[in-house]
Amino acid sequence: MTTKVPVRSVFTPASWGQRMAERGRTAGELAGLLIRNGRWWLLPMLIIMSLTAVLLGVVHVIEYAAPFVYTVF
Amino acid sequence: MLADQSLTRSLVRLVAPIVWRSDRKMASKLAGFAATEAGSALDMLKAAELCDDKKLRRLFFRHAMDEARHAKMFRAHSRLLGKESDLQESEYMRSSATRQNLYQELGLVRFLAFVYQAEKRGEAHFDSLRRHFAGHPSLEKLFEEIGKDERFHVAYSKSLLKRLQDSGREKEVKQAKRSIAVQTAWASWRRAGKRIGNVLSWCVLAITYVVVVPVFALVQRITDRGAAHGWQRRRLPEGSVSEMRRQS
Amino acid sequence: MKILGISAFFHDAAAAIVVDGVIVAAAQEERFSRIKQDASLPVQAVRYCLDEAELSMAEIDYVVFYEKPLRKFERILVSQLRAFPRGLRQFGRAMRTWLGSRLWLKSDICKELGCSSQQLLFSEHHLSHAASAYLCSPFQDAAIVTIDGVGESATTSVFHGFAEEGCPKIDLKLELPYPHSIGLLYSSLTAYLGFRVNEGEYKVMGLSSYGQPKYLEEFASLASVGDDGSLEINPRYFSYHYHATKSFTPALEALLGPSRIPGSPLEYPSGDIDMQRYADVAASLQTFTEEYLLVLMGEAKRQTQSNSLCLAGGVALNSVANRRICEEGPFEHVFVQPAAGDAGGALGAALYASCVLHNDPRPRLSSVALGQSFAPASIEKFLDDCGVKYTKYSDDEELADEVAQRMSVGQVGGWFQGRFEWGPRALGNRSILADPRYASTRDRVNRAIKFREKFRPFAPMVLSEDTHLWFDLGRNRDRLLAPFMCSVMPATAAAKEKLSAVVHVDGTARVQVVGRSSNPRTRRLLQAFKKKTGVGVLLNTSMNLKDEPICASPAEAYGAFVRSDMDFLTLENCLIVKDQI
Ligand SMILES: [Fe+2]
Ligand SMILES: [Fe+2]
Ligand SMILES: [Fe+2]
Repeated sequence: MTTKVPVRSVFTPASWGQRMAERGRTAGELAGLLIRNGRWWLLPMLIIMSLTAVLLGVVHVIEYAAPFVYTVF
Repeated sequence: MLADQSLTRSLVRLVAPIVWRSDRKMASKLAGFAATEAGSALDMLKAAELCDDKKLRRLFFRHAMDEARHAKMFRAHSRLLGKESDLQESEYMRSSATRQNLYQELGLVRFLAFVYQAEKRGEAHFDSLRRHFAGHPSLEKLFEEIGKDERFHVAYSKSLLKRLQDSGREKEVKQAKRSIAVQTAWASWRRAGKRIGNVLSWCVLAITYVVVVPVFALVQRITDRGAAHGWQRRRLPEGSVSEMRRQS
Repeated sequence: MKILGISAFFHDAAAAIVVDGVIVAAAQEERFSRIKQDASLPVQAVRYCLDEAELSMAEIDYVVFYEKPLRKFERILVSQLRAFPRGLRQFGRAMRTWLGSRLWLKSDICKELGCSSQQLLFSEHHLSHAASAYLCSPFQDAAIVTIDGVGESATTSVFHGFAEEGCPKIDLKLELPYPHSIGLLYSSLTAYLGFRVNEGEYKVMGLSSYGQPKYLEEFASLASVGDDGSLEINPRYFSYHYHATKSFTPALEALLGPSRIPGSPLEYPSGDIDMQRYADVAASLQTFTEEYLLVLMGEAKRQTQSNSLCLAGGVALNSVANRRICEEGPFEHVFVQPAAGDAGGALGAALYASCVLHNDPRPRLSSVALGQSFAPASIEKFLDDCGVKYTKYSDDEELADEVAQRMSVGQVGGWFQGRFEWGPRALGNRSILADPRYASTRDRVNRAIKFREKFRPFAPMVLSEDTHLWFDLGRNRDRLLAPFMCSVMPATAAAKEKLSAVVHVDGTARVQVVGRSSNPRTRRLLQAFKKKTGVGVLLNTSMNLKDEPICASPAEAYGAFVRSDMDFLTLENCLIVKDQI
């Protein structure tokens, strides 16, 4: 009943590369925050966790190949 | 599609005696139906609201009212079968309907294809249940009555699709039908996959929790100045755009 | 300045748009997605806000997110490590949501909303709450107290709002760190009482009137209150900081008795011992919370020496506590942001950037009708197209008379007017209205229309000039809260006798005073009802069925109408009657 102006129409959405760069900056900012607060030793844990996250990403890709994925493991 | 329908029928025949084994089970199953029907009533209403064509509007609206009525009928029968007290809360919980915003997401043609296929499956499902409950004092009639409406839903969505096809949008309609069929299958495939994916990622995290986290928890314990309690005094940073750009 | 505020990802996502210090639109995402307390990024609400302001994203100066995500993540990491090895499930869940998506919300917001990262700003959680209350209030100088579950790491904050060279400033005085939170304590006991957290709190408040605060001693061991208004939770009894699904420990059940199984029956008044115990626990919780808040307000007064108070944060939705703060607290004037929960953070974030950062004029919140409206012509076309029979009234007086007549004979109906409300309460724009005089009407609305628990009370709306006849406004300080239903008021003897559907067992009611700034049709309806019955009061409840968000569009209103036992539905000036369709 109302006209809808698509939000995105006026903007070219950021490219994949730009978004990844943005994520990189966010990660850097997080590292900065932890260092400022004397929690630099948390960084290795986050790196390991991120690698796990990547692994989880793989798991989610496997989801598409599921439900037969259990045969692989 | 035909295979799909007969598959539904044989599946229902197979599981119905288990799913519908007691009055209580029946009551909760019917309450579940009520929620689904109410949800599709909301979706059809939204479609009626958003589309501009008068004829479509009226059909979608009628469809919505049918589904709302079905929801009411299912709920009433569910109440009759279940004991009011032990059903009350859980039934209410489930009677809240959720809209899937299908019309907005799919667009008209694919929405119609979706409605057609979903209604066809629903019709087959209810028809098998009608047969399953042949002789039942109330449920046979219930499914028969609802079945009539469902047949209308199948018929009108089919004829709308046909009309679109005849008006030169044959390719589009065919594509929509195919993509909806694929989407539905894909969704159920992914549901199964997701369950396994969840278990897997949970395992991975559990292993990390046991192997990696203890070291850091130890460091935390050593360096911890003790959890803060009581009032803290902190100066807010000077309000400025550059400060507010920060996420920390 | 054209500023868009956003809150999301916790519960109750929302968007608000402020143009040159005017709140042009503000709405919760749930109204568009129809998922109760939808927490996902409010794409549809943003779209609506831009539509209403007739702006494109490129024309927006700043998009302000209501909190600092990285600081929140740090708090979660540290509290997870502290809880080790007890929090496997919560740890798993937190890591999956944060590393998977939440941490990258900046790039996600830019992608989903189509803004550039240069446009994007981040406020602080409690600062957003504070701004949402103070900058909308009529005060120049005020204490601002924000109380909720938890923000980034603070759970309760005291701010001082003042003007410096004509420019509003907000100063942080004190903050209480996680996990010491009155909001989380309230939520944990909500869960203990078998209600869903983040929405069952209202039920606990309603339930508390049926009990006596018999457990205050036990509550004193759950959390200790300092003379300086600080609070310290006893971790023995709570597990919300490490358990994914359970917020209290067996020790709490040993102290207060077994918890209530969600969904088990509740009927009041009741002879059942356990049921009475639940009511007593609820009453004790409510009293404990109120007393704590009074101590806290004392400290806020000491810190700011101000005469006025602004409240926000989820706990400020507790209208019973708000009444006691007004009556017994040290402040002359009190203002509560109507959308006190996290949705309100969107508005606060936008207002902070607008008024404090860029010195735009401060808005006055005279009405919460900040959501979407629908042109009468489009409503008529919809009804015509769908073949719905309706009567159109070109004269508002006639419409009011007809609806008042129907209600006076016991009918219950929907009332859909203008823009939908900002915040959790329906104030006559998306309401279900009924005669307030008979308890039987209340029971029917509970049972057959809203499908909710029998013990829950309904709120009245009352003509401003008649308020004193029925309710005790208090030390004149409730006036600021009265239009938004932010506090309860004791009923007068006349009301207790005549308005049995809207006076709660404890003799109070959560009143909405309908003054001249309210919707004119709603005012006229109250006047017509008064002419007919001598009572300028109506029972008012939000237009939604149980566990569903409030309706936004006419079609959704119609959906609620046909799915429930409502007798009629008013869409702007069109009246639809059930036995005619
Ligand atoms: Fe149906
Ligand atoms: Fe159907
Ligand atoms: Fe909050």
